[in-house]
Amino acid sequence: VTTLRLNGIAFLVMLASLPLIAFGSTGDTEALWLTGLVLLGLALVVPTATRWTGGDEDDDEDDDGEEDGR
Amino acid sequence: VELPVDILHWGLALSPILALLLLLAVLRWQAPEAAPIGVVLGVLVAVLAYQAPWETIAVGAGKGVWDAIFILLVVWPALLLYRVGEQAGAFDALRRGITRFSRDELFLVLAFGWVFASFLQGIAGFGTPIAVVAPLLLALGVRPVYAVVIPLIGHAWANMFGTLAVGWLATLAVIDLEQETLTAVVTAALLWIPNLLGGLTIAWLFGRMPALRRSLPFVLVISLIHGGGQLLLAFWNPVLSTFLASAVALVALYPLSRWGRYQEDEDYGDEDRPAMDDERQDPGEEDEGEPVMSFTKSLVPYIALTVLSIVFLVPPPVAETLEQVQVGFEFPEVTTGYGVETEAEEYSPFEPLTHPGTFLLLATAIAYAVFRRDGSFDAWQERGDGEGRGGILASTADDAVPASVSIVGFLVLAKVMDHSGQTDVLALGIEAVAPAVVYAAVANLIGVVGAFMTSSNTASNVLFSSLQQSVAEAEGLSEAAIIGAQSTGGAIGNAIAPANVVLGTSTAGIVGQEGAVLRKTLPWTVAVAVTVGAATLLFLGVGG
Repeated sequence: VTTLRLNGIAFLVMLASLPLIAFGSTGDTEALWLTGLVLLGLALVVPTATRWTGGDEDDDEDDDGEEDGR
Repeated sequence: VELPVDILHWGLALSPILALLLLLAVLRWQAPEAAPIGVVLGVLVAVLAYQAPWETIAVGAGKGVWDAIFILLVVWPALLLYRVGEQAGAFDALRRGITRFSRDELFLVLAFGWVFASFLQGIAGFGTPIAVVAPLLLALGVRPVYAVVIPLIGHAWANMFGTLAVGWLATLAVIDLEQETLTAVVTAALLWIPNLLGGLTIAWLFGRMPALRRSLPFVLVISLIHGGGQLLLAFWNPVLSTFLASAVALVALYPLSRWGRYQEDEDYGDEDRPAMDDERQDPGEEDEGEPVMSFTKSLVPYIALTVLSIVFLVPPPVAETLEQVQVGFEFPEVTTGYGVETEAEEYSPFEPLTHPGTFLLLATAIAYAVFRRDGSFDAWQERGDGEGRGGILASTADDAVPASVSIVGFLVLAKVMDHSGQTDVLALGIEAVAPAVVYAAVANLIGVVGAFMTSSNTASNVLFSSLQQSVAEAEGLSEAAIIGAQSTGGAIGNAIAPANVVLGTSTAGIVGQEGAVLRKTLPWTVAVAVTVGAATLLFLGVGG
């Protein structure tokens, strides 16, 4: 659940970074697009970080995953 | 532009793609965990080896997020549609009702995974066939990994001229073709290969050689309609070629289902049926009461999706009117130290009224209203099989969020590589070392790489068509054959594109098993690419 919540926040931050980058770069406002890029970068590394820090239910799948039901 | 086309820069540009394949297919990381590693590598290579300023990275990344939204607008409604159907007992009714037409599981898997998936790609695209068909195959008793693999393979051929030929139209927009009709025809001929091999592979996945033998008449008839129909139509109207061919194939399912050969399920004895979950109860033998809705009602979302798509997308005046509503962001011109320039533009405006996500959402709303009015949600919950309507949104988000973060990551990587010149170096590197005949054989691989990165035949052709045309001219190769190879590579690359794979694993409820899917679609893609390469050489030999 923690991983899912963190990923959810990361996803919202990714979406929020888009207007910052678009308006910042078009309007030549360096602070704005830089903020967007940093936010996007931070949001992107969250899912990988949770591989080591989250460590909850989403462990590696079985051999081929073919036996798993829905 | 003074791009560094050498082994070091070529290897560095390839490293994010190799890292993704390694993490997903070999080390079995989950897609949301692997995608950021690819992005970080891509950005480091862009800044340190390709002299890309941070503003260029930012603009590329912003466009990547924007591209991802196009796919996410299919992912979220498709998952919502699945959850609505699941909580209303629609899949149970569908599974049981469909046995009235045929009890042959091989026929049903081919009908949904190949014929229906191709039809959906013919009209909707943007990953809709994978997102819609994977849950349907699950309902038929296909194992989850195969429920994703089958539509990925089954729909691939239809990418180029599918979605009413958006890939073809984009290609015409970026290059001036000397022989437009010939190029369309050669492309359609090459696309017949993944179509035929797609049908045969799905049969083989279902039940190895016995299934392959039994499916042969079905596969040949449908492939003749798909591939042959598209080829004939390419002479007249490439825009409608996939849509019309796949629609005729859909209609042809009915007479095929009446054929005694495909009426009853074959007893495979001890033969291996890797795609099927044989532990599942036979829907005809179980005693679990009547379905909570009729078979016809269980088809409501798919009928609604098909009708809405045809009504709003096929008649040109309607589509052209709806396409006028556009939303988009502007991005400035950016460049790199090596002189790779990307022009200022209103980037890829979103047309909400013609996007398949809108039709999926409308179909979901119609299904929800119908199922709610007839009390299906409550009836299914009372039987202890559903959790009711309350959990639909939450469970949709549970599946959609991990898929969304990885899809954003993959598309950001694709755009950063494009804006920094890494994509060009990958293609130019192949061109620099390969003699003309070798280049012709591997030209489709460039298309595959483009589609792998962007999950889009259209984007692959926009990225590489110009380069392919220049090389064809410089090497004295047939433009039609090389652009045809590029386009076919762009189509088959969709079977391994990580964003497409994630789309399937999320709707099949197996997020994290992207590697298992890739290990099955990758060999198919390589085999088809080799065959397409050989066919390209054949065209060059015939055409001089």
